[in-house]
Parts: sequence; structure tokens; C-alpha cells
Amino acid sequence: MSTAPDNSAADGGLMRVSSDKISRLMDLVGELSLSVSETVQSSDLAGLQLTNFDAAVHRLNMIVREVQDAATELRLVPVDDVFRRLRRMVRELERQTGKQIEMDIEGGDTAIDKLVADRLYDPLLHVVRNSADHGLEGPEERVANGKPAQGRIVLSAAQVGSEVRITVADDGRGLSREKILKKAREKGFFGLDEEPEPAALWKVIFEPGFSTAEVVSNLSGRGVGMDVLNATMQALRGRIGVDSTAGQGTRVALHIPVSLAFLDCIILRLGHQLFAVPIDVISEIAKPAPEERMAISAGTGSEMFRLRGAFIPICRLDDFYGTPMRPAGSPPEPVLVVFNTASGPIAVPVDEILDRQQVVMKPLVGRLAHVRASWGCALLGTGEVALVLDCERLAAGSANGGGLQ
Amino acid sequence: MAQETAEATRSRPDGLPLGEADNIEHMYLTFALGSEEYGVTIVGVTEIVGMQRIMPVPDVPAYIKGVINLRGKVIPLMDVRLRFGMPERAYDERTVVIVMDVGDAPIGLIVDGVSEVLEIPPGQVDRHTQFGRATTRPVIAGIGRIGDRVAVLLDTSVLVSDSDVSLPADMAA
Repeated sequence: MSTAPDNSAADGGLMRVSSDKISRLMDLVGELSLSVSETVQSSDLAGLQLTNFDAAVHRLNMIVREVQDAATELRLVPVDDVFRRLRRMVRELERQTGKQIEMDIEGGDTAIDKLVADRLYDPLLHVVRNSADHGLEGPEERVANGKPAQGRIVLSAAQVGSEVRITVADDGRGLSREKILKKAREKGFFGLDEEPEPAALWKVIFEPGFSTAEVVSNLSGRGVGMDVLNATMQALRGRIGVDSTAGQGTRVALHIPVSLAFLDCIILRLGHQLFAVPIDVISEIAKPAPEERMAISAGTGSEMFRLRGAFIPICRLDDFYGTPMRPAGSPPEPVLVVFNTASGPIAVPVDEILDRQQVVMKPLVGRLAHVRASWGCALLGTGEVALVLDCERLAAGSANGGGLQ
Repeated sequence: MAQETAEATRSRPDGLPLGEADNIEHMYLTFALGSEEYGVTIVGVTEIVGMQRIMPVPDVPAYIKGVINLRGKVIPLMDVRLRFGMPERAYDERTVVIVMDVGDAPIGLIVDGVSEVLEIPPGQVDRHTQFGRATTRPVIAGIGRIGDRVAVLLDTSVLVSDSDVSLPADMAA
């Protein structure tokens, strides 16, 4: 596969490189940065006076960081490659459905990791197909509702911090709150009297098992392939958001990290256990006074953190995992880290904030595959291993009564 | 220590060439748990290392003691004694980790000490289906006879799975 756009003109020095070679380079760069950290933090150096050495280490670290960035950049491709394939799909759908569809692309030059781009097509295809197939009305219905006969799908991409946000927006009929809520209640996602917020309700269409073939036809069809989308988003460490207004259309937003190779993390310690948390989910680090922590005996014995008048639920990692991490009878953890999640903020107590580093991610395989609320293992510069927390699933899990399944 | 053990494994003590394609499946790495001798097929064994610094991991059974970082690879460690419900024993200088790939995923088995690599032809392996539960695949693949000694040969894919493999009471050391 080509990693650079094919220019027929004098190609400005572009060359084709196989993605295997680039992956190999990425692996080596990862190992290089680990060995550098290991060397620099070697215990043999303890107590030595190393003025020149420290200066050299500083330079070395800067270079490694740049090599990392350059290697990551090698694998970045414009998201337009994926968008163009989708455009062809929409032409095909126009013929099949007899609908007129105008497809607009915005931000096609947004760069994204080739590995991510390769996996985006299928889930995006499902979203676009659902928009074209079921979201957009036929020409007569549209005209009757005072809309232009031609339906419109806008596919857009933009980089937001270390994430790329890809949205698929249509101006169709929107999701039916009534039908989805009915189905969600049948499936037990909500209680009979519960009236969930729209954002919370739309989310259930991605829940595994929510969509079945028989509901597709009476659910505006938004069901097909949503499980696939959900699974891919989890694998890519992405998030999905849905917004819909009856009669005006639906917007599905995918938030995906630009690169999968390195992750900018804060390292936390709780007892003898290390955790890494992607830096962009941390909204606050606090050293609470005792009166700012409030225990609630009712329910499952929860605890709240009072921050500037608002109450934030405290999510204890040792309770969540059902694994004691600190000696019994330890004083309360001195630090609370507040994570921003789609289910609202949560405060996680830890003993210590250790460091901020670019970590190399290793997937959880084999015996570790069932560890909950984690993206993988992070190899730290010290040679230690930290568990990378998936704060979304941590928050969702603890909201459901947390802990043991 | 770790180095020596690994060497011993590679240059076979009995002088037979290692890696002959036709009998590698009949080669077993034997190790001690208490007074008993166990064996695993050497297919999949990548190396044998001394005990390393274990970093704990939450949300795993107690017999998964944590992970080690082996030259940039994260390897979960299973204490085979705990896996079989045998009493825990403090790790000492003889304790070793057998690192192997089982079903494409790495795992390290913590054992009391490795003994040797042996060829045990199928004719010297007694396969008894009554070991383990009848409904599930047994963790014991067979009993290998090596002269006047025996080694309990383990099915590594069952060993690393979630299934209950506690040994019958009379077999636990």
C-alpha cells in the first residue's frame, strides 16, 4: 500500500514504502525510547556527580522525542482516502434507493494513523449507509416536509487536541425517541418510568445486542452494523457520540486518537499498583481536605468529592477491581484525580502522581484479555508496567454498581 | 542462574540434537512442584528466566501473580502451585519462570525449578481420561515414564485457560 498520495505530476520526491517497514521502525523507536530511559535511570548512576552526562541526557531525550514524532508522522495519511471510498458508496446507494443524495466532505486533509484509517472504512460505511438508507427520506416525503428534495450527508473530519473527530451528519428524519426508548426498555437498558437524557438514550443503539434483525425495519434501520462500529471504536480507543433532532437529522461523531503507537499519559500510583491515564481525560488533580470527602452509607456505600460546590462521585480502583491494593487500615489517599468522561466526572483516589510520559502501549492478550476498563499495558521508562485506564468504561462500570460482576 | 538454566535447556544434557522436526513434539521440559515432577511440551517454550520483579495487575485470579517486562514484552506470570491449589511457597534462587507462547499469547509459568528436557515417546506416555473432570478437557495430558521416574504431562492450553484444574486431593502436594 502506498503511504503517500499518488501524484501523477513530478511527485515532489514521494516514494512508496511498505507499511510493514514503517511498523518495524515504529517498534524499534519504541524500544529505543525504552532503552534510553532504562539507561538514563539506571540505579548504577545513583549518587554520581554527572554534570556533563545530564546535559547529554537532556539532548538525547529531546532527540528521541523528535524521532518518535517523526516516526509517528510517517504513518499519517489524509482521512480523505477513506472519505473518497465512501463517496463512491453513496453514488451506489443513490441508484439502489432512488433517493437524491448530496455528499459533502469537509476536512479531508486531516491526518490520521494509517492503521486507524484502514479500520475506519467499515464502521463509517455502516453509519453512512444508515444515514442514506434510513435517515434520509424519499424525495416526495422531503418536499412534503418543506425540505429540498435532495438529501444531504456531510462527512467531516477535524483534529481536536490529540484526537480526530469524524462526524457523519444527515438532514433526514432523525432518530425516533419513542421507538428506541420502547426497545431499550424491553431490553432492560432503562426502567419503565425512566426518561433518559437524549444523549444517554441514543447511546443504547451501540450497545451489543440492542439491534437485532427484526427491529431494523421499524427502528429507522439504525441498528445494522452498530455493534461493529462499537467494537472497532473500542479497539481504536475511540468514543462515539450521537445527536439527533426529530425532523432535522442525525449526527454521529467518532472521536479517535490520531496515533495508536504512543500515548501521552500521567502515571498514578495506588498502593503497589501503577496506572497510566491519557492526559486529555484528566480535568483536575486535587488534594482534598477531609471535609470535602463525604461518605454516603445508603446504597452501596459510595463516597462523593465536593469540588467548588459540585459533588463528584468517587470511584475507588481497589473496589472496582475487587483487588486490595493498599495495606488494610491505610489513611485515606492524599490525592484525588478527576476524570472527565461521557458519563460525567469521576474522582479517583490515588497515593501519588508520579510522572507525565509518552508511553508505549501493549495490548492485553491471553490471560490479561479480561482485565476490565483498560486499554492495555504501558511500558514506562523505568521498565515498570502500568495499566492504562479506560476512564469511560471505568465510569460506566462504577455507575452500574461497579465492582464485581 | 537464569542464564545457566536457559543454557542447560538449549544444550541438551543427554546430547541429542535439539530441534529435530520429527520428534520435537515428544520433547518435554520437566519441572518440579514440591516433590512431584511435571512436564510441558517444549513446543511454544521460548525461554527460561530467573524470577524477575513482578508488577501486580488487578482483575485477574490470584494465581496470576502479575506481569514482568521481559525486554519490552509484557508477560503475565502464573504461579502453577496456586493454579493447582497447592500451598504457596516463597520464591527462592531455584524458582524459575518458563516463558511460553500458548495460543499466540505469552505466559510465564512460575515453578519450583526446572529439571531437564527429555524425549518421551508416545509409547512411554500413559493417557488416562479419568484424570480431571469427565465433562471438560483434562489438564493432565498423560503420565510420562522416564526410567523409574514419572512426570505428569500437562496440557498447556488447559493450564492457561480459566477452567477449574484443581488436582484431586491425593495428588496435591
